[in-house]
Amino acid sequence: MSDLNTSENHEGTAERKSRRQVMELRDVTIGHQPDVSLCLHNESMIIHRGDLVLVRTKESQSTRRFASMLQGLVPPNTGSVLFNGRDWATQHARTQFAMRRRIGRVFARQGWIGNLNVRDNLLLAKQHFGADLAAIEKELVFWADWFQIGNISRMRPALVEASSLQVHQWIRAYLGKPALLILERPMRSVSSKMFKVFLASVRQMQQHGAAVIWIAGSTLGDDLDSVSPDAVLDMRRVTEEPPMTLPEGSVGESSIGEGGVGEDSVGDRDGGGKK
Amino acid sequence: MSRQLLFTAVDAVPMVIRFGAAVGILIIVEAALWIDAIGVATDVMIPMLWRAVVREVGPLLACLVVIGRSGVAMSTELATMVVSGEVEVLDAQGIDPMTYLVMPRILSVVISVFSLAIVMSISIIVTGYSIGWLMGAIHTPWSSFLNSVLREFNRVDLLFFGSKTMVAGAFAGAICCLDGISVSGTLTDVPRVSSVSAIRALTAVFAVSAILSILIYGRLLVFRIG
Repeated sequence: MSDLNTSENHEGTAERKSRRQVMELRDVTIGHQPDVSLCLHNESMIIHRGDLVLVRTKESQSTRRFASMLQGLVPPNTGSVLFNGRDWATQHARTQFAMRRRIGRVFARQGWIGNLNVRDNLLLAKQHFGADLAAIEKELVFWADWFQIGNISRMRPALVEASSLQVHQWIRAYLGKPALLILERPMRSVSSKMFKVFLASVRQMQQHGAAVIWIAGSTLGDDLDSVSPDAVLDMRRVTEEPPMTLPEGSVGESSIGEGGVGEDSVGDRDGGGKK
Repeated sequence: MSRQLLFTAVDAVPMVIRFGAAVGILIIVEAALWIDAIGVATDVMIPMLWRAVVREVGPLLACLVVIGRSGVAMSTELATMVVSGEVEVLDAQGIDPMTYLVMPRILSVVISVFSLAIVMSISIIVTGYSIGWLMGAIHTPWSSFLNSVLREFNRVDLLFFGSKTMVAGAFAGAICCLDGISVSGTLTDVPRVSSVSAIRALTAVFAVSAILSILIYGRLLVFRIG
């Protein structure tokens, strides 16, 4: 497996040395149905360049809202989410879109534009922003070789086999060397034989300075032990909170759930981490 | 943008020609009846027919065709994309749905309505003349008829035609797209949003057409404004 050979790599190494903070959650609360979706209750954490955070979830928990919150698409109930030191909530919409270009994401469920073929889906954002397509093409070839999928599919997503589609999602997330990778159940639909290759690709991205948030379901089992993350956020341990006080006349859930944060708080080695 | 133009304008041309032909026949039959009833010459009717077609009927019918054929499809497509999470996928990649999905569609509707209104007007005039000539309602040769029509064309016609096609088209496109992209709920809400959107777009087109007529003529019925 060869290394990606671009000028950004050298810049990335220099930046990584300074351990710049990529993502920060400040007293974030989101969600209130822990059995249904990932919930946080007044949690804070800092993720630096090159960090890998493993978020362990139950299969029944939807990860979409949590991941979208990290991208500034959904506001948290309370608290702030910062990407590259900038609070999503205080940024102009145009700046938010520009910030999101630096984030690669693997979606747990719907992750494709149905009326574009897979290749066009992969190149969509890059073409839209006038990226250097020759460089992107090189990356495509690199990752296609890495995952041994031959050529990038030119069929519509609905016609592509699920495991192949998932591998294409990985490639899309890696294109353009993002500062942050959000991997929502990346091994879904994919053979466990691919785990090592995928893990190696994640390591490759970390070496290039990407912070990685890996949201994993429970089906991976022992394989996850080899991930050796910088921190683990265990959302499977659901704690029942006292009933929430609701405004008079409103109808709502009876309790607030909390996904506990694991012992390895993120960024501890740099003085950050859970407050 | 090019795909949208292909679907909204180019693919609609045969339908617009057929539609225009049918309307042309209706108009010329009606005109022939009036010529007989009033006892005026065909020459008197030509300017009236021309103005009715270019200023009112052509742009309005082109709008109706585009809304019925493409506007509903757009709002359905966009609403489905929102509900199925595809718009969020765009958002997540840093692509603004307004610039990627909405603006090209509005622009394509504007260009399509303008272009199709030209096709519609030509179809109405040519078919109207042909049927009128076959029926014996029009005795003027084609070259004289065409000359009379072209002589009638003036700046006010251009003002009517341009404003009614572009402004009304922009309203129709914007309403269909914004209704589609702002849907919330599930897949079952999509048909409801599409039908409501079509009605809103039609209402807007008629309203815009009426307002522009008032503004350009400076009259409301028989009352002069200003």
